[in-house]
Amino acid sequence: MSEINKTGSIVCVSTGMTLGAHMSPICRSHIEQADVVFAACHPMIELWLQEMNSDVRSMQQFYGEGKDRRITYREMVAAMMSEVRAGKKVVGAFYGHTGVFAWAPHKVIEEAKAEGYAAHMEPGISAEDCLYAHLGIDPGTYGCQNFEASQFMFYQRNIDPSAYLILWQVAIAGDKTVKRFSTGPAYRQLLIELLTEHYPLDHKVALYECPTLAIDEARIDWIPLSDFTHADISLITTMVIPPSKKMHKNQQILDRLAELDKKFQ
Amino acid sequence: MTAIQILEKLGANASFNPSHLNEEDKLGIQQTLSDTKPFNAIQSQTPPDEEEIPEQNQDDEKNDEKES
Repeated sequence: MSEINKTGSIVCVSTGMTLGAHMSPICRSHIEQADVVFAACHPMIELWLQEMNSDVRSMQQFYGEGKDRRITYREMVAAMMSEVRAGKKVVGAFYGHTGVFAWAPHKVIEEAKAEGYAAHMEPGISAEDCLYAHLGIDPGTYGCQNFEASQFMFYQRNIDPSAYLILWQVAIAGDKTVKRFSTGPAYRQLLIELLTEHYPLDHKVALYECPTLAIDEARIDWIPLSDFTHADISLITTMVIPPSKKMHKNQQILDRLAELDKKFQ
Repeated sequence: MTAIQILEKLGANASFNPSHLNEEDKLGIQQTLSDTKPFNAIQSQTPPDEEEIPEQNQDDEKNDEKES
């Protein structure tokens, strides 16, 4: 098709983590006013979206056992862009914060903008936001590092054990195929080995899961790092590792700051 | 109210107490939950390298998906 209908648009909205509790008014308004809503959310959230719009299409169908997720994500983008190009007002509704640990929303906005369509993202409440509330952690207290577990294993990262370390998607830690729905104890053991460069085996870590429904409690299980190998985890489990070391003063900078204070106070 | 409407109210209304749900509502929620399909939560995953997946594989995968 040589002529593109520029009346199409895409907004990627955030549903938040918990049904009914987290969606912002503007996200809800976009969903209600859309011609079509593509959803990548928990099935219960998708049912909720169906009460806001009569044309909600689940993107769960694009996943498949043994299927490379990069293909799945491209198919999500293609499905959304197809309706944008058809001139529709399209919404992509992604769970949590639509732009956090989600490839397709960023990509579809990039593609739509490149083709001249209106496209933007609406922020929301992510699993990380919920984690701080449920675990009573303030990332400002010691600092906080976030990594996808597999990326943390594949690449040499410099971590600071005097800050919190949060590892996401630990159920598929070390999955080089980008296809699996779980790796397993041997892979987790390798992750533990990597972590023991900075943390003792008896260091207490939290396994966290944010509830989708208000009738459920958040999962917060504190276990020794060594027990992670055989812990009960799922695709939504996150590992939270508190600091193992105290923060060390940077005396050189403190001395220089003292000199500045003498000059400017 | 549907099960989803009850859950929405539970999420949004601080004074709507889940312990006040009647048996019918609880059963409705349980039934709706049991009918849901598994949730594929992974929406971003780092590959071990920057290699692009061949287009041929994508077609194969699409065919596999349709057949399954």
